[in-house]
Amino acid sequence: MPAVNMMKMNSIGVYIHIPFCLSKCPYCDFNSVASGSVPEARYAACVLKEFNACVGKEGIDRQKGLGSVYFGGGTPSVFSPAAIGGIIRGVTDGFGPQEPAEVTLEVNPDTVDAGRLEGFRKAGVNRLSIGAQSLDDGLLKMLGRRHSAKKALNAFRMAREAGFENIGIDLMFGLPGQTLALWKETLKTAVALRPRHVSLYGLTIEEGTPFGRLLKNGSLSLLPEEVEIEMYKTAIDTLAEAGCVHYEISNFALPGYFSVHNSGYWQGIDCIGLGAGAHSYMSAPGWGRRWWNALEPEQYMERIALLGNAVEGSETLKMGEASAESLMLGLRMLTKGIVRSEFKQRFGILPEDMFKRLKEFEAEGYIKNTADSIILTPKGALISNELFSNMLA
Amino acid sequence: MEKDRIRNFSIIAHIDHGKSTLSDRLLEFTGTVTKREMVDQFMDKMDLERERGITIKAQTARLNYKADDGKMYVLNLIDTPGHVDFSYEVSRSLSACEGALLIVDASQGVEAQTLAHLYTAQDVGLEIVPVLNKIDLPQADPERIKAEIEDLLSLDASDAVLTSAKEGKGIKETLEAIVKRIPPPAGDGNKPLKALVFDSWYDNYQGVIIQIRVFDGVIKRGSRIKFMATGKTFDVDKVGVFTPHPRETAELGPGEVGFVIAGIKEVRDTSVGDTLTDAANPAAEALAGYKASKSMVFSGLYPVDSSQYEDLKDAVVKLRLNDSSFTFEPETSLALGFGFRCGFLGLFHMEIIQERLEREYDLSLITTAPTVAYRVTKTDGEVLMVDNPTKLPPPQNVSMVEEPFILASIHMPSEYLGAILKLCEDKRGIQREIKYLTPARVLLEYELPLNEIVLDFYDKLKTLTKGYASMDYDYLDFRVSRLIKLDILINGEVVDALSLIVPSESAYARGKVLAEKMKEIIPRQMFEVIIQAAIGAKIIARETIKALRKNVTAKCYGGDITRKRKLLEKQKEGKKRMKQVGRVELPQEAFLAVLKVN
Repeated sequence: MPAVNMMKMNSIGVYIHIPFCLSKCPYCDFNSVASGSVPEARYAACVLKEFNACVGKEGIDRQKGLGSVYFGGGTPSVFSPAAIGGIIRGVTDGFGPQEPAEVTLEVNPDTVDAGRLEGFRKAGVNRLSIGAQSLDDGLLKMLGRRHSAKKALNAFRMAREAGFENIGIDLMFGLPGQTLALWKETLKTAVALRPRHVSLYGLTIEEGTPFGRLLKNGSLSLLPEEVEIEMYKTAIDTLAEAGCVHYEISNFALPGYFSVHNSGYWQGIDCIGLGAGAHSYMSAPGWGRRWWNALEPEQYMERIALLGNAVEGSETLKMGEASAESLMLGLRMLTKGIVRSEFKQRFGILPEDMFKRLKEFEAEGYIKNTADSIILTPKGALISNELFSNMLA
Repeated sequence: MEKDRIRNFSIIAHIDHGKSTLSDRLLEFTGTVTKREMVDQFMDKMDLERERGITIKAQTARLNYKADDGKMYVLNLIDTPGHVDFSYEVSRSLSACEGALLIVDASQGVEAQTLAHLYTAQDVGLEIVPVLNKIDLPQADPERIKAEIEDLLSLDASDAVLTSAKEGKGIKETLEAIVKRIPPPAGDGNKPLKALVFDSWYDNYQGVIIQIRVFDGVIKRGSRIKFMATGKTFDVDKVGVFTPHPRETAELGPGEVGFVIAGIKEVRDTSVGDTLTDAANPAAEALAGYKASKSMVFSGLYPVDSSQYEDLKDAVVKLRLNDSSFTFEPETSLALGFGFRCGFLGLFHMEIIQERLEREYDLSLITTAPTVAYRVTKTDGEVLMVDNPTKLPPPQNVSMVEEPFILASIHMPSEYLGAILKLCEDKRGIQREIKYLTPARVLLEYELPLNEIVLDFYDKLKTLTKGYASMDYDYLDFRVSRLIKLDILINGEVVDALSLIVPSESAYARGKVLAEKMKEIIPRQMFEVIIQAAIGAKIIARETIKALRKNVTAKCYGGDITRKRKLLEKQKEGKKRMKQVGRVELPQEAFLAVLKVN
């Protein structure tokens, strides 16, 4: 199985959170604000100030390779190519000579045209993740998206024309009103675009969102479980036919196109998170540490201006936490799984020493247990939460 | 101590009407407890009490008060527990007093819980001083509430004391009312010692501490004392008073309230309500009203994690030191492993014990459905007490099953009479009397199987009367009933800890709702779970919990990892509270599902 672009263990990822959107979608509980004016220059300056302060404070060796840069949101594509370019240069400059990092920009179809896409490419972005979510106008409207299916498809084509080869697309399933036939149609249309990467998300109703309230008061009806399972299975089959590898519970890609940045999260690669609400992770010292920034953009910028950081909270992992996390994340990777030798090297014990119900889960067909690794089966992937929480019990 | 300078009193109040706050203010005003050491609500010692807003263990405090007449008085505040399970303990605490403050919320008026204690107080002949608290609230309406007290309770409320314990208003007036209106104690210091034991507990350093009220005679260090009910004798090491901190005194004479330490090792040697006398010169007769405390309700207590059995054992042994109405003996369940069959005064007592075990000893426990002790006569003539449904012999070997009946006295506003009559009939009750105390208040007396009370009678009573009914009960006798064992099977296996003894005429209905309830309570698992109710070999109800097939297939990137791990940790914690029976994980509530059936 090609793992060619899995990140090198000694490299580092950088995540930049752009918390601005044109409008807020009713299902979304990500950190974002929909405001008329976007304080682009000020925010970009803060991100770089935070980055430099962090590199200094954490003693990060700039000779270390920079494996990935990822602009997530919110809607990072509301920023101008110039602002994005400025951040990319600021973040990559000074890092040692390495093969070019994966630089991803999440794109909302509503925010781009040929010129801007061209601009992003010239600014150093080499991978796009297009947040289509659906390719059905009715469902897009229900989701509160401002763009049409056509616009999403256009954005994809324009991105190709602008010279992007590595383009991914995000789709959602399990949507109220979505039928299996409609979903198949969406998958078919998406596959025809030859995306290098596809992320699929089952609709999750989060508390505190408009959808959460609608569900509570009974005006939102979710799909029957069987239908949602069928949708997931259909997607797995369709994408497999298109040559995509189901390499993580929610992610599919052509060989060689696994997301370097996201793979970093699942493999415990260091990552500096910049911007409002961004999370950072350092695997050393000890069993690792995480910290996260103030959520609110204004507050974030004020704190950066004042202190150079906007840390709102942090946690130092204990061995039990780090190893449990490693098991959970390892199982999410459906081709790599938990690699025994890697686990043993890091924690000094074998995964099965912690994973007490391994044999039972294997017998039930939820887990594939080979000499080298422990891998979730598609059946297991469906009830991954249940497995994770039972794993250590 | 001159008797006419002593006042012994209790406070009777509904849960939120401000008993603890008023107690605190009295302590503060008299300088008994300084502001600095005043932890809010000093009188409620245990965390549990504070959380539930209920006093479980009686506390006393001695207040020194200089009254308007210029004389110093000793006011003994004797606290009372606040629940039907402890009604006997309450009656003993009240017997130690000459009067009681009846606190009523000036905005809400008289509420149910107040009544039972008030009637007990009147039964033992206490002078009642009405106190209207929370007069600071905008919705307070003292005149209306006074009228209500006079109507409902037939008490003279014209000179009720008005207070706001929260704002410290009316505290002095309350103290004056205690001095002027509550009579001083009677008693003769030259007669043989006669003292009422109204509380006792185990102290790690001193052994058992007992609280007493002296009626006649004097007790001091070196006295050889005798408990008249148990006949046991001890030498007194110390006597003293609670201020509320313990302070040793030379002696305790007639009318005084205080503690005695006498090298007693076990609380069970010191039954509440017993009379303490001089071993060499005993009183001719004991004080009236003693009852041996007796476990009425039984349930199994098991550790969720079997490796905690020894810890549980240590914990129940320690709790028993302090609570003579709690009993236990080891038992084994096929489903739950090693545990204890425990006896309690009632359901509330059971909950308190379980919570204390979990909290103070950090145990995670399964409590099986509460049951009463049945008297079973076998065909071979053998008679046995069955306090665990699994021990009920097979039907062909049983010639007779008898169950305990109680006499319930229920006070309520007359508008609820219809609903409560129906409830009592549904619960297999036999009506004894309906008495109109006033046109608006009814006393209903019913003979009821204790088993029905144990299940959900009290909750239903409260719900049906919006909390305005109060209930007290006395044990009557054993009566023959048609009772059978109802089993619950999980994936084809009988789970012994879920078995129940039920009246045969309602067995089908119970089995059906119980299986339905279990389906609600047991979370979906990674495989199908079948719940069945059975009488003997006959299946009478069946429910299926479908296998879990899907969780949300949500994303998991940078910021999600911590959140997700914490969620999983929480779920894992939740699983620690589940008991693995076969392959099925049963949450703790599943074992008490029968209590949740409506």
